[in-house]
Amino acid sequence: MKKQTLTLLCCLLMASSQTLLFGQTFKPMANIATLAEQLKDNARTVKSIASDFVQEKHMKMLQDKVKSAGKFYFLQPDKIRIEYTSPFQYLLIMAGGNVVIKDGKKTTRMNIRNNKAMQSVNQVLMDCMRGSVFSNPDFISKSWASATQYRINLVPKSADLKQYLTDIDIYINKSDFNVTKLIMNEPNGDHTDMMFSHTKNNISLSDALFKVH
Amino acid sequence: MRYLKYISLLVFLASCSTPKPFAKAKMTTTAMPESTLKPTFTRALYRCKVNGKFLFKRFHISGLLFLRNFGDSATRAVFQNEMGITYFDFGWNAEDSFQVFHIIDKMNKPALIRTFQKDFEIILGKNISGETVNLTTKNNEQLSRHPFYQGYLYYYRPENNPAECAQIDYGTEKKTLVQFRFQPAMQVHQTRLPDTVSIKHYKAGFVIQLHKLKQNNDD
Repeated sequence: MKKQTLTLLCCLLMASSQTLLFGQTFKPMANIATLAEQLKDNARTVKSIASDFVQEKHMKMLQDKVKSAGKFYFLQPDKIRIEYTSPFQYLLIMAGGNVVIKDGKKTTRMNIRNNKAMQSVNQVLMDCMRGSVFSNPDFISKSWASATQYRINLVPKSADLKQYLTDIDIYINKSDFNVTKLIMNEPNGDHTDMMFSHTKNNISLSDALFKVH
Repeated sequence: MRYLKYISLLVFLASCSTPKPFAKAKMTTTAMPESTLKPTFTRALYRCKVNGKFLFKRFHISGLLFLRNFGDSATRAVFQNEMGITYFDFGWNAEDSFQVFHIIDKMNKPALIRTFQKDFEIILGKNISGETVNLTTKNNEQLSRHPFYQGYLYYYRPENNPAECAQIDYGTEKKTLVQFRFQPAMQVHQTRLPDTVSIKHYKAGFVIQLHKLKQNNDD
């Protein structure tokens, strides 16, 4: 009887140390140094990224969601273009610490240092592309691995950022180190999922793509 | 985000707004069932843009406004930025009692919350008294006046098509504080939410533009 109880307890402990998400079992990674090095090595070989994305904002209390979609582009060392195409047109370009937003015919240039939430989300996106996701001093990171993916969880340190985000989950393919999903969890239980697909690395991207005309 | 403090200041300044006299003559007083001013909907998603000017500097804020009506007549209004981060989540119960479920610190200013609350209540037909005073204007438009908080709502309707309302003004008997314009014109006995709404806050000098998106809507 004692042996059975001990076995059951061991099973429960093992189960609690793993996370079952999207049909995959994620186990905590004891040593993230190897993964951090692999991500950096991969980023050295990836000069550009082009991808489609679908964004879903899940509202817990309303039991409803808002969907949008668009195109994502990255060009080393620090250029990102996020282009929402459906159900609205909205363009966000980040380069050299500045953000340019084109909303319809209106173009707004802003310094993201004035906007903590946007600055952090954009920095996380940039870190994902540059393989420096574990180096961000604004977050505490933990990581898990499944058979096919890595999951990196980032918890913000500052109280200012915590009012917008409780944490961010990043899902990365083990095979090619491409980011497949980004989940931004909010304090009220809402979360926004950005799912990336049709990702192409090292395609030719013009500098003009990262300028608003 | 840095412009939110400007909006708070502007909303404060708006409390002492500009005069815009109505040219009207009192006609009759009737009672309209309050439910006739309430649109029937389940969900609606609007593109929301706020443009204004403060101390000679222009500002622009944009995002998505999600309106959700539940079977028990409770309603929620959630404003989020394009990347999905929630700025505020307001709600009304079946008795039109207002509640703030969530709001970010930078927007958590009583004057700003009251302004948004009233703007949404006018669109959603909440807390509007059915007590109606019918008036006329110089242009022979039919004008009905409903008590709303400390002021009145003025519904402008063309004489040849009184079922349509292209404009609602909120103000006192002498001043317009906020002007709502609907494109196309809203039906007075509303059955659906308007497609586009322009909300002009006089004196405060900012305009909220709402444009209904095709996705996440009833229709």
